[in-house]
Amino acid sequence: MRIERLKIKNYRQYKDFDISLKNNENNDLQILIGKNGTGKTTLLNSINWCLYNEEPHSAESSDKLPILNISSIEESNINDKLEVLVELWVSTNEGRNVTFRRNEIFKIHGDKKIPITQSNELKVNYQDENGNTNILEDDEAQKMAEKFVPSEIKEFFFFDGERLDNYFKDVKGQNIKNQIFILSHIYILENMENRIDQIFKELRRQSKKLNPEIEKIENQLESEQEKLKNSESKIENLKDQIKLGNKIIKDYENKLKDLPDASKLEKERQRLKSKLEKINSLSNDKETERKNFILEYGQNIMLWPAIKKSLQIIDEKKKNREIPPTIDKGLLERIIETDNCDVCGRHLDDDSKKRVEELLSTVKLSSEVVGLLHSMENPLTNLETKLQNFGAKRKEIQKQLKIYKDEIKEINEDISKLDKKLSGYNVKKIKNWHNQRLEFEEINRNDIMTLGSVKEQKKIQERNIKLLTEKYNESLGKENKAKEVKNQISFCETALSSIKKTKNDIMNETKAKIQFETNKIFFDLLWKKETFKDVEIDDNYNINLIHSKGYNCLGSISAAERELLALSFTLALHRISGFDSPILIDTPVARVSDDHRENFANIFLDVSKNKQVILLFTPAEYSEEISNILEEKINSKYEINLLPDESETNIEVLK
Amino acid sequence: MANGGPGKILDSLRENSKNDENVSRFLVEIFNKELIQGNSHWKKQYIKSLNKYTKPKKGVKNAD
Repeated sequence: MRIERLKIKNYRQYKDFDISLKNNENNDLQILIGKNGTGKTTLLNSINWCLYNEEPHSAESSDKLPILNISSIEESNINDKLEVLVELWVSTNEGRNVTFRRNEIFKIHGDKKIPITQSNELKVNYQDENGNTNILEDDEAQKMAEKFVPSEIKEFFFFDGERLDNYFKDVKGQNIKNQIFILSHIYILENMENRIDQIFKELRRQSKKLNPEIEKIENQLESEQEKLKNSESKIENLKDQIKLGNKIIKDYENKLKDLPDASKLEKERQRLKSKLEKINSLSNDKETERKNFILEYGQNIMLWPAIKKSLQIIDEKKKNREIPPTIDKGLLERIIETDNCDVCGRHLDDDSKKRVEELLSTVKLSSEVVGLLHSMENPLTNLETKLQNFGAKRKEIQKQLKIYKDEIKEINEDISKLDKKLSGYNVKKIKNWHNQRLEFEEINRNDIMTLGSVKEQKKIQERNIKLLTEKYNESLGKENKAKEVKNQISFCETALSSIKKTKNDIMNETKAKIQFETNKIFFDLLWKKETFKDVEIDDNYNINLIHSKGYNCLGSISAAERELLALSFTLALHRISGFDSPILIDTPVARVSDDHRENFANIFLDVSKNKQVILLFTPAEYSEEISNILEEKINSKYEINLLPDESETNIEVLK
Repeated sequence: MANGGPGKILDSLRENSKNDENVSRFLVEIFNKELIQGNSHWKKQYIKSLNKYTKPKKGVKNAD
């Protein structure tokens, strides 16, 4: 994909501008040279305006001026209609031609000749596979522009060289992550996920109508799912924050450790911190043991008076020889009732009956009750013994907990003393580092506690969702019609799960590839081969440059190295995305010192072997060093000049 | 014009849904629709594809 031609009419200072960009099989390198203020950035804007109707690089002063060329306005009459036009002629890798053509029509109003917009439209002419030319308008035309370079990532293709210098300040973390989502098409998976989820929820609502009983479960399920989603998002954020916090704390620790004044104190502080962490962990384990112990004994303690009373009764019964029973009360009652002895089989006479009745009056408890009391004795005695140990065991746990608490207090006091000493340093820098480290430690402590609690909540939510889903499916199964909906719901669930897995796989793979490609490009192009070891990209897409000695040195590299790293990352994104559109850089080496300009000239030349490179230089930038390297390889070269009255830019073909 | 990412994603979608052929075909179909047609009439298209793969009587042919 390359730009073949750029045609501009009445766009700002470009009244009539038309350039063709040639190439050959070895290179595709295009150079435009113009002094500051002649319109290089306007050229960059014209491409953005044509494709997206935006001028992202315009200065505030330009915003106040009409987009319509000023001399054209002056030459016009009232009620004249003037056209601003930008045409971008592009050829695809398959050799087909695509022309993006945006025009805006202005009508000139009043004596002051104020231009008022009448219309603004993009049209695209493109050749299909049969060679026929088609015309696209409105949304369809805009979609075609998005396929050339998606508007969200245009800044990776058409940009100001200054952006490369500020890359790691302006384009960081979440922003890069979002851009990568677009570049690697993960956004399509996100769309699919959201849309299937929407249909999934609608199916559930439908199933509710089929079986009203489901409504309650459905609401609970949705609410739990929402809670789970929040918990997951919170956990991710907290993990990121903790990771970042740890990194910052580590940085401060390393800085403080390396200072002669503070190094001894710092080492001691780190030893105490590590000890504190271990004792905190032991103390937490002991606290859990205490809680479990209380839970285990809690119920039995509540029953302690009843246990005591029962054992007392059993004891009394034993003393009175009611336990174990000497005779069965039921047997005596049956003998009296039948007047017949169950033991010897004889009929009872009056005397015998009287004696049995006397015997019965002495037996107070039934053998069943006595048997029960007898069987209770052993377990109750065991419980009594266990509870008698309760106090001792509780004391033992509490004693150990107190030891840990005292130790923690002592270590914290020692750390506090060290902190005071470190804070007391007169060196402002040390004091600041130390205080900032303390702040981050506090933040991390809170984050870690919150993370633990959110993780617990998440477990509960997952359990609830599992139970509710089972209940929900059970209710759904009752209806025939509902079974069909259930089938679709289950289908959507499987589809969603597959999309989530895919998203995860692609994200990890893309990150690894970008890291690999960035490394490859950076080290291929770098002039200092031994200084750096690796380029790393973390989970948040922050870029770290690792020095050969192992530390992250991104903050201390030269502007040229930083610019090369940003360029390598940008080109890696191009390769990964599959968007092989050209790269256009305004003032590409403005921030690069003279020593490295030659290196950059070689880099651009190298890149132009595989992709169209359009560079907008100032004459000062296009120095002899750069010219010596590029001049012979340049495919097209133009000079941009502003006319003396500054109303118009003209162009001179140099090559 | 973008030729790197989509192929990879399709492979990964197929791999992650290989246990259910219908889900796999459904995902490939809607991914291609998203890639080519973008946002327009998505709901109608999604439901059509969903019905196609969840109601076997209508047949599932040439899904890819």
